[in-house]
Amino acid sequence: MGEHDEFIADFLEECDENLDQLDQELVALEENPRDEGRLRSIFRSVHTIKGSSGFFGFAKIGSLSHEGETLLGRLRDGELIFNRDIASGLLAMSDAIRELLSSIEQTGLEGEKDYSSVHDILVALSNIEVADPSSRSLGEDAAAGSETQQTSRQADSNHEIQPIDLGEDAIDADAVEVTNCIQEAGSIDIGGVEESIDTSINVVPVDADPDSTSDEAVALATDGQHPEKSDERPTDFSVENQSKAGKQIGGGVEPTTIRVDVDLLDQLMDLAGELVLARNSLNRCGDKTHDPRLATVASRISQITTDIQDRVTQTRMLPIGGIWGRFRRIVRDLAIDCGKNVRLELQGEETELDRSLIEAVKDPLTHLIRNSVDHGIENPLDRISAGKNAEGVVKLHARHEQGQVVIEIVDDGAGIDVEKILNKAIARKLISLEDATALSQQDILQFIFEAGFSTAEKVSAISGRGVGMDVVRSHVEKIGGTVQIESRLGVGTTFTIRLPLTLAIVPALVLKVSDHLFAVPQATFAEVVTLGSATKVEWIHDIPVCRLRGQLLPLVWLDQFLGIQRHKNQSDNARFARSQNSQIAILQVDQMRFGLVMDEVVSSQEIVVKPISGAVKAIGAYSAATILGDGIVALILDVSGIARLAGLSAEMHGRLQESDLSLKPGADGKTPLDHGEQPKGVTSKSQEKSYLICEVDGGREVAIAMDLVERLEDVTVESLQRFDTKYVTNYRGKVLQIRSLFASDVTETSDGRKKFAKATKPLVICKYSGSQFGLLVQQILDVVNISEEIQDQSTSTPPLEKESDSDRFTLVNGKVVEVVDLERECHLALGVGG
Amino acid sequence: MNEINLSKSDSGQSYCTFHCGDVVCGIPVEKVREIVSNLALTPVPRSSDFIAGLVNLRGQILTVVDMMHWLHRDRQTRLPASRFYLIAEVGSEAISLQVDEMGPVISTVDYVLEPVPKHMERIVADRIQSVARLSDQLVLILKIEKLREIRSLTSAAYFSVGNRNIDNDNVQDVGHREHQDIQ
Repeated sequence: MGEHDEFIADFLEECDENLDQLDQELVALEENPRDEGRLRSIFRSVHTIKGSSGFFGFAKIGSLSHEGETLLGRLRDGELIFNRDIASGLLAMSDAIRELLSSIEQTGLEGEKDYSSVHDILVALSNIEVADPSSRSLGEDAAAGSETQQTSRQADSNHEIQPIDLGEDAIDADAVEVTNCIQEAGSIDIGGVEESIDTSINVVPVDADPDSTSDEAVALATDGQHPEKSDERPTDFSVENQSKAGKQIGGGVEPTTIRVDVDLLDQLMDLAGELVLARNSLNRCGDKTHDPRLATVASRISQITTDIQDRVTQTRMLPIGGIWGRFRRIVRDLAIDCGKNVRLELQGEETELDRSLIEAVKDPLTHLIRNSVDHGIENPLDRISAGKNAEGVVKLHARHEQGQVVIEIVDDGAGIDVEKILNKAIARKLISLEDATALSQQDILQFIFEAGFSTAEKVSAISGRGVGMDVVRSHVEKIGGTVQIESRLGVGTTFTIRLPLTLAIVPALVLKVSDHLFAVPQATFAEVVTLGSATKVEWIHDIPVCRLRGQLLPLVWLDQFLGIQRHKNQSDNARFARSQNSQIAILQVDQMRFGLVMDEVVSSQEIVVKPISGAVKAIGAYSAATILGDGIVALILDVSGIARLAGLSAEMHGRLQESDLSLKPGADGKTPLDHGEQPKGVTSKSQEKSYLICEVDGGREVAIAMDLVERLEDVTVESLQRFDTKYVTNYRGKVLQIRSLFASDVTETSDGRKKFAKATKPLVICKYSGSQFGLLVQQILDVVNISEEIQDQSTSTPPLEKESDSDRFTLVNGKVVEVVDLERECHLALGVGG
Repeated sequence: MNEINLSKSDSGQSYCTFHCGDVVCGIPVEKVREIVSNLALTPVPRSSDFIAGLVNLRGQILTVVDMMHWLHRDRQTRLPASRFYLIAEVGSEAISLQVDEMGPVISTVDYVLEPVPKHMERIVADRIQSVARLSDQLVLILKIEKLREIRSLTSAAYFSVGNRNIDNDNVQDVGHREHQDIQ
């Protein structure tokens, strides 16, 4: 069979695709058994497999697909009604063929394994008589259908007995014939035509079944002669075909495409990248020479390069829906196995990402979905007793967000018992008992990703061996992504996978710090402000912040963060002066904003994202690298990684808690900008106290003692949950109790509907005698120093331990401001005492 | 003689040699893709000391490993103007080794393989396959697949209170982590 090797490779690939499509369509058909178009498409898939396997003499595949085809034929003719048993039978056939294919791939032979049970099931299913003929879904179609089928059977039987070896010319002629037939048939049924074209294309390259090609054409011509039939097709199918043609989403119809070797696309992508670099160099030359002709040519080339780059990028992009189809089947089979009711909801199937990423994320996603169904979703009885709908829902949601692809797997199952995980972690000595108390919920959930970690009491066939989550994480991290997990006991679990757009070309800004150049994707970039008289560095506790339109943003000095040495001859003072002229890139990532202090923005350009080695990636500060116009490598900053490393996260929060008692704002010797000359008006003097002035509803202003303010956050109203007079939210994996300083409810309008669900509100996170809580305000206005006699009474205690309400007001710029009694708010928020 | 039994794959093996400070090293010649000089090196701040930086080799970005550091050689013994990049295939990855000077390719007739001396620092010994003894010098045959195990570290967070000296942390952490990796 040596001379057939490459044909066999084609055959395997084609069968594999057909089977994938078959699986998806069978599950889809199960949901909508009357979808005649789908049934036809399934029939064709099986038919193609049968035809090609016959050509290569793979008898087992041939016989299985033959029975499958017979069964489908009866379904198509309306002699049988599609049901779950039939779906299972056909899926079993698909699995059996898949096994055979993998055996062929490895050994070149079908192997010894016996598939007669699958065979028998298919035969038995085909022989079931339909009790009520009136329930035929496709009655009108029966005559034409069986006619077609007969023709095809005849063709097939000829074919099996006597494989026809037609030359390429003959096949070409065949294709022309098909096209002619299609043209004759007219354009009544666009969906059908596309399918037929598609089939012919699938068939021709493997030289497998030219007869069936013409057979399809005959079937098509027959279709064309019965225009009334196409009217009866479910309209949604045709619409789907038209609207989604070319996207390969669930509709079961491949577009009219050609196959291109992936390596070729990769090379093309690399070349396009090189072209972009060359163009950048050319632009630099053009800028220097001031030759108008060169400038014209450069700009023209620039335009073409951009276009090529766009198109080439597109060729590699696939909608993620392409791999989601298979999840329907996985969920269906698993749910049946576990005796659960599970519905899979897919959202954002059209989200496109690079094909290599799709491949890489397929297995982790599959694993997470299996987990959700097997571990997440409870049994129907448990669900009902927990007051939930008996049917569990697993949602798969993909979207583009800030230059990343975000995929969420959400289930509304039992959630993860943090206690159980912690106990297991302690039992497995992953953590000591003492250390365990300091862990946040988020930290504890991370144990799930440890190798061999499982809390399952019994190991099921599907999962529970503790193998997998570590693999999920390592796979995702290998392609530069991250996995996050959030879970609420009794409510459900959400896994969030974030993938970078590697191998892509992205717009970016190039920053300069000292002698180093770094690129930052524009997607994370909000704006640039200059550090100067208008924007000053201030300190909240030990954290440098700057104020931008009422919002306080933490600052990270890029040079210090990266440990970049400035020139030695720069004294501290000079360095500080320089820092005064620095620019701050305001970056936004993970719903958090911060300022990155650097020297200047050098340029804004499109950069080619090039992968970097694991060792460099593991630093966490860089997502990839790029090559600038002069051929120099520049690292691309991983903005969310920097935020994490800089401690703008739960870690920072923890450290603040530790330091809270010992440190006061502006304490000496502990700050990154420790130069003895603090910017003006920044820190409080000993006799003064800083207050955060915030606006609440109705234009009221309140003052919050700054020394009890830990952090400022933005929260979405959506994320708040109301309990009586207070709110709670998930703040970095912990439950944060929140008091609203508003007079009215912020989450609901008077008619009880959620309002501004997407709107964000500033949240002032305070800490009073060791307890953390949040205060919700409308807007943060200012930080002021108030030097007043009332504070003399309360130098070391929280402000204004009031005798009466009147003490809780102060004047700021002539305006009466209510001073928030943090002790009282703390008690109200945490539900302790009065 | 301390001659050791050579496995089949070792016999007849040619090695590409190079100088790193005061030592001569060798790697299998078929692992060497090319040798380049004069590449613009982009340093990677916050990375482990092994990583000299990144270079652009005709559009491909390669990590450059400072071989001096990898072999724990003292920086002061480094020869001036050491700028050779030996591009090696390590597994599926190409890694650039920054070395001082290239040496000749040695083949079976030139050397006798001997085991790694026992007195060597364990971390370094772990990175050496064997020692090829030539008439006038010793060549350390490196386990270049160990280059893939280089890990960078996530050093102390920027806002860690009272602990601002990132550089010092880095140095300490490197040694610490390295031990962990190996054990």
